[in-house]
Amino acid sequence: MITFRNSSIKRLGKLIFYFALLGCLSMTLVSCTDVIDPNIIGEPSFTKRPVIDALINDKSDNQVVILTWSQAYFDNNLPKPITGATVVVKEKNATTDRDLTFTEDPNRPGYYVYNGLRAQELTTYSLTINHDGEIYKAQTYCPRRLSWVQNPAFYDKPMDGRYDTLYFQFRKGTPAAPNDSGYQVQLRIADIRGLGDCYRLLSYRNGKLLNQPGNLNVYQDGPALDGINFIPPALIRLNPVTPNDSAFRAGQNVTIEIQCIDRDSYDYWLQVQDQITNGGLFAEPPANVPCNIKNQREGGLRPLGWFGSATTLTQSAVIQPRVNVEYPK
Amino acid sequence: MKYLERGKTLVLMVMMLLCSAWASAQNVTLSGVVKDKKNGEDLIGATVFIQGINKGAATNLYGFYSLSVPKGDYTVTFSYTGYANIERKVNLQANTKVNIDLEEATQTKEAVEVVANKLVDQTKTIEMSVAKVEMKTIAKMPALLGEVDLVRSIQLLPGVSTVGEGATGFNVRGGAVDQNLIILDEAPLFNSSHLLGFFSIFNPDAVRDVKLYKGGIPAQYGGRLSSVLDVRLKEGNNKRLAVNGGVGLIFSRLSVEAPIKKDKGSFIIAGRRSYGDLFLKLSSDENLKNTQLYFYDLTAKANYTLDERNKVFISGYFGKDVVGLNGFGFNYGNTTASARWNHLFNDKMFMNLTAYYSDYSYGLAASQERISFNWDSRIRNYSFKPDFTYYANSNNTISFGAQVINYITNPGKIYGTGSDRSFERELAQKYGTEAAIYIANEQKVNERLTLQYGLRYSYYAYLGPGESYTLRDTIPGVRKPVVEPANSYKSGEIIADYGNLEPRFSAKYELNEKSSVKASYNRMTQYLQLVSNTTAVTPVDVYTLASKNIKPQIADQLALGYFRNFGPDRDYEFSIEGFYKVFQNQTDYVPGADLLINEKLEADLLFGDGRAYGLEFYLKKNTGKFTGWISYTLSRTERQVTGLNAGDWYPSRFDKTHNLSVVAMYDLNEKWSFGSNLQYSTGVPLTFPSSRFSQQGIIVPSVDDNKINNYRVPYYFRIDLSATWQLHKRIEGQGFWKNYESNLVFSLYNVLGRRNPFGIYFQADPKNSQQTQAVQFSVFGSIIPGVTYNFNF
Repeated sequence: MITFRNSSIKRLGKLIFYFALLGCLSMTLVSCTDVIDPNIIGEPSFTKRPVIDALINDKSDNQVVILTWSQAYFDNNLPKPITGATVVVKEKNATTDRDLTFTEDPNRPGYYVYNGLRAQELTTYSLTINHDGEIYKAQTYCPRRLSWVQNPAFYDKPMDGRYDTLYFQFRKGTPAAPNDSGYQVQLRIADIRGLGDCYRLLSYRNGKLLNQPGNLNVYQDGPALDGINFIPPALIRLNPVTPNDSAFRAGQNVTIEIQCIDRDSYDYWLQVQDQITNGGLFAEPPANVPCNIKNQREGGLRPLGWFGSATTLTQSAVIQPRVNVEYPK
Repeated sequence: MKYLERGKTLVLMVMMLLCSAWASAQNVTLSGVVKDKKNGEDLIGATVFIQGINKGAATNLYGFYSLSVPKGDYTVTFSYTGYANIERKVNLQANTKVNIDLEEATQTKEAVEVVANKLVDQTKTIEMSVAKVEMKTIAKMPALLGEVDLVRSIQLLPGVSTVGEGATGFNVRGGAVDQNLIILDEAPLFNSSHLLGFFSIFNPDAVRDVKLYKGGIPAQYGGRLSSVLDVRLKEGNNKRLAVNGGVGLIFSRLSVEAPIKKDKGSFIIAGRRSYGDLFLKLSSDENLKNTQLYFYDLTAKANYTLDERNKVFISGYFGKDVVGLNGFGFNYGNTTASARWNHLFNDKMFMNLTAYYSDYSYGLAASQERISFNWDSRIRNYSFKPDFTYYANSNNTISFGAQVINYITNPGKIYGTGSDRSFERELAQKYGTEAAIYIANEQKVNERLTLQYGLRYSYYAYLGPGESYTLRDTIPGVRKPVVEPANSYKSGEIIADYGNLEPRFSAKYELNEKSSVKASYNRMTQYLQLVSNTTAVTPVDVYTLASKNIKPQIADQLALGYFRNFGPDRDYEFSIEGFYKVFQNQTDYVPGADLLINEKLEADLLFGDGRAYGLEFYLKKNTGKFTGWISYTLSRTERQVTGLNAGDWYPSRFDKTHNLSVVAMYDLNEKWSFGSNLQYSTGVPLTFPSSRFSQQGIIVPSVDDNKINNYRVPYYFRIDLSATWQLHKRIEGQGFWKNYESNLVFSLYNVLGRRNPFGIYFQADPKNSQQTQAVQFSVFGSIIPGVTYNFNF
């Protein structure tokens, strides 16, 4: 029995629909959006909840767990930190089993740091937070690692010499931003063979993360997509969201980061993506995203956020002007 | 199997009822067909009234009437709204056939016509909760871009609403868009809209008659919970060649009708095509040039009268919408074909036999470089449907019949090319069969009281080959765990089956000459549904059949109404109706539900109850230079789903407390006439994220108390104006211009230029992703002018 559940394809469908719709609406109809005063609808009440924000990764030896309080939706101040908590992360795999106590950074309240941890594949990370008499626990799994190494099995139809590359193509504007010509980045990388791989993709311009809601980018393989190159949904979201952001230009340094995440994290980000890109004619009702952190006390304050882990793969290239060039050569 | 047993019992009851009705037949029968003199079209709902004994009948959907009375000399009046009456002296000694051609009333004949209306006015018929708009009226109303539209006009009637401008379909008395049975010459349509929801797929030049049943739904209809939109196509002029057409800003239309053999048979063929994309092709901009944005539709029908007793019809519709931009696109389209045979067994027994095929296909496509991706889905059904009417005597009209529908759905197929190889994957086809039998009697108990009572029995089987999953219970509101492996079923094997008895009842009691009260109850069952969790349904939402885990939807509705006609010529109609409706097995979705391609879709569905109740006021002026109506609905539509909103009732996404429409039309003179609409409604419900938190630099909204739809979008208000300038009027005389008529329609849609909110969304500020804001989305932000040139000859 082959399971056939492929959420990235669902999202692709939605994306195609939106792209086509957006262009057509903006061209042929006079639809419009206005930023409004939220007081028109009234300010709902809410309970302040602890928020856990952490991704154990392998980009450096420094890991951080951020603890803050949730705030009103239209409160644009920085969130209030949670100070004085005890944060312990347990790392467990075939060869390792250790408890690491994070310490609060005296210069950044709410930041709990540990120097000397790098995420490993096939490892379980458990988080325990002790604060104000409440104990919060979470667990995440760091799945197998993706690599740039070419898979000979898929090297039978070579395209431009290799698969794992960044690729730039000059585009003369888009209907949404007709005057913004620039370069579109494309990525050629094959999914790890075997089902069940999930990824989050990020892109940086000159070292700065593209962080528009439209850039939140997750990808999952599936029976139809197992082991083959990533297909468009992942590739579109790597690019700046015009017209809010300008297109990639020649001379800019583009870095692509691929995080290998577990299925639960994938589901989490997918639902975040749904929530932050919701709108228009076909909006879905807002709903809460999942949370993998549990308050150990029955009836205790429900926390928000996600405790994740990932191994990462990055690739950088500088865009050469006006030529379709592959990087690196 | 127990369901089939129940069905057998019902068949027995039908036979018994028929026998008893036959036994009482002692009288002679007057029967025939009422047609339009000008073009030979059958007139639906024309009245045949025998003076002296005060007996009357109305023609059925095929213009046929039958009336049994004692022998004698009578004066019979034939009448139809907007047409001049005809009186005939008939000496009834044996069964007699009288076919009548009625002629459209001119201004001078208007007085006669008003008297005629007395016989068919709303206080006399048993029908309630029926919304009817004449095609002539629709043509006069202001329309978006000057294009008259059937569905958008219906939305101005009481009890009918939409979630917003441009949304596909319509909502009737708290029902979802997929709970409307939309039939075109008997064949169902699965999407009634072009260009999302801006235009409906019905070509106004090809439509003869439209009727929307919101309640008191007769037993002959079934399969949807909330309404039946019965659209009947023109049969085509059987006297001479006639051409209708129009040129507008968005599309043009042309229809041709002509006799196949004079007075025996005729056809009509009508087409429309939008041309926005043709202009885009002229653009020098590469992106615009490659944009695809168009729709077209073709409607055709032919009929032939074989002899006095037999007439055959074939009708077809074919339409498609294509939207494509920068390699991304979607398309959708309906295809229907129906063949019908009218047969008169004798003067009292009428049969219509229908066979139809209906197909709705929709898909998405994306291509970039050498990589392409496609997704297609489809629902097909074919049906066989005999309907009989037995005109037992002047007080009893019995209708009975049956229907079998076979459904085949393709839930989804993806295919395309990756950069290194192509891929293809398809979810298995699903099969279902729906069968129904019904019987009903319309009984005139006395001069004041008329009853209509009926019973429909529907049976549905979800058939193999296929698989069925068992779902395990979990915390309500999250994805249910699936037990692996699935159970497999062989071809034709029943995976799940359901049977439902659907009682239907209506009563009319005339209080006096001018007013009556009516009451109705109906139960409806629905075995397929649209899986959609967006504000407006999209053309690419998937139709899903009832299965082991998806129980059929059921709705019970009770309605009570008061109807009054007044004014010097009784030309004002007033009605007030109250309704209460209860829904079972309504679908909702777990957060993050995966609806597009999901073999285990059922695990993502939640089920709950619904209720809707309200009051509908309607005041209409039918005749004179100044015509129009005021419609006001006060209503509430709610859902209760375990796992959502903490298990409490919440307003459904199409709940609107107040909904007001004012439509006014004024004929100034022969040259000019004017129209205006005013629409006001409460904003649709809205879920407001109460708090936010930051995650890896991204601001995530949170609905702290898990409440759904606890706020509202601001109100909706719009005024439209139109003016019609008659250029050519039919003149007496010779030559081509004799029959030529043309007019220019100017329209201003949203005269106030108000930015009516469709919805409000909460998002990160595009300039600073760490700041949040509320954004109101309006489909139209300005006045939309339009002009259309219409002609016919």
